[in-house]
Amino acid sequence: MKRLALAVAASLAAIAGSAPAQETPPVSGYQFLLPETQALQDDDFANPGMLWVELGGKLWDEPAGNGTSCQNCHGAPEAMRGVGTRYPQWSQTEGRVISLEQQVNQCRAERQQADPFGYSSQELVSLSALVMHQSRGLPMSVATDGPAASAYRRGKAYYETRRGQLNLACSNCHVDQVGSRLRGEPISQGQVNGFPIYRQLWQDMGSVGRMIAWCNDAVRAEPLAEGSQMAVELELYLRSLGNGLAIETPAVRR
Amino acid sequence: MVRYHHLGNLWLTLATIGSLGFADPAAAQDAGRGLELMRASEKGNCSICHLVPGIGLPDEAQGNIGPSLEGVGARLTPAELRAQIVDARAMNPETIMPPYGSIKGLADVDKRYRGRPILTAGEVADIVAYLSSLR
Repeated sequence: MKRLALAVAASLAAIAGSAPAQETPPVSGYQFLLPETQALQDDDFANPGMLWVELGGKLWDEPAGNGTSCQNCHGAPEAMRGVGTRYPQWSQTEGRVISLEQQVNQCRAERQQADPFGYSSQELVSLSALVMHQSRGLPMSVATDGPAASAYRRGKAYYETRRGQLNLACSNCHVDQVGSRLRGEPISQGQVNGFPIYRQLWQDMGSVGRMIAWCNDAVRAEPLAEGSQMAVELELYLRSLGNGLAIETPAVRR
Repeated sequence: MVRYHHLGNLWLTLATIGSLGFADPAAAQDAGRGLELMRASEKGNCSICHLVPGIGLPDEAQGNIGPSLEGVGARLTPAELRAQIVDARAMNPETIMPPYGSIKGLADVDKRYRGRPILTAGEVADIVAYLSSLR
């Protein structure tokens, strides 16, 4: 633990000395974990998040609505390798940036003519985890230019704005205090390359949207609902901060 | 929304009058209660960022974002401690420390907490009493 923390601190110090905060290279939340939590993530047989990936695999083959399954159009889940690296991304159909979860629901509505899953439902987080898992090891690479540029700017502004009774912006902790200790835990960059994650505090799987909602609650700010446009645009900004980081889904976090 | 702010100001005004005219928070201050408030996660939650002597946690389970509060009673006067807790922005506009006794300039506050600061004037006085005892 101490050795790891020191390694993180040393690399961050080296970075801090040479470049402004914006150019700090991304570091996965994995590097801030206790070794036993890292080991839990690394072992697919022990990683609790794999249960959701497996459930996603079952749902993938299950006919819905008009009798079509994901598999009928896409083939095996493995065919989705690379897809998860790009979300949230601009949707021509929707005229806005959408999350992977919303893309799954769009497919359900249009291709399967089935009711959409609730944003925080076990089904949706499982399918999202399944698709993201296919890109494990690939670098995250969301687009922040072109039609996504204004969503990216709004996400960045949200990230940098103080809010809530505690008057804290995301950046106050996850940029300015990376490596400092919040009670007993080192503060990470808040990277989202492992989402959906199995979070030990929740004893459950959660999307980026769920994590954002949790953070807002922690600073006693107005809730930002999972799947709201602002939350999706904030997710775009968060993922862009980690562009280049390897996807870890399903990651295990505290 | 505007009306809400006026209401908030009214309460603040009443609280100020109260503290000037009818109640002296210093008279009722209680260091023991102050330590409890510092420990409570819904209130001060101080050791999330500071090392707090007497809080009952090992050093490595306490935060190091803010300075250690060891001996802080010898470094700062009660008035300085109070000012720092109520609104640290007065000393440093960029501070990460939440304003425990002020709602000035807050945005997007959840409705459960809107219109009131984290701590009352009396609660701040209790905490100041505990911190002043750290020498």
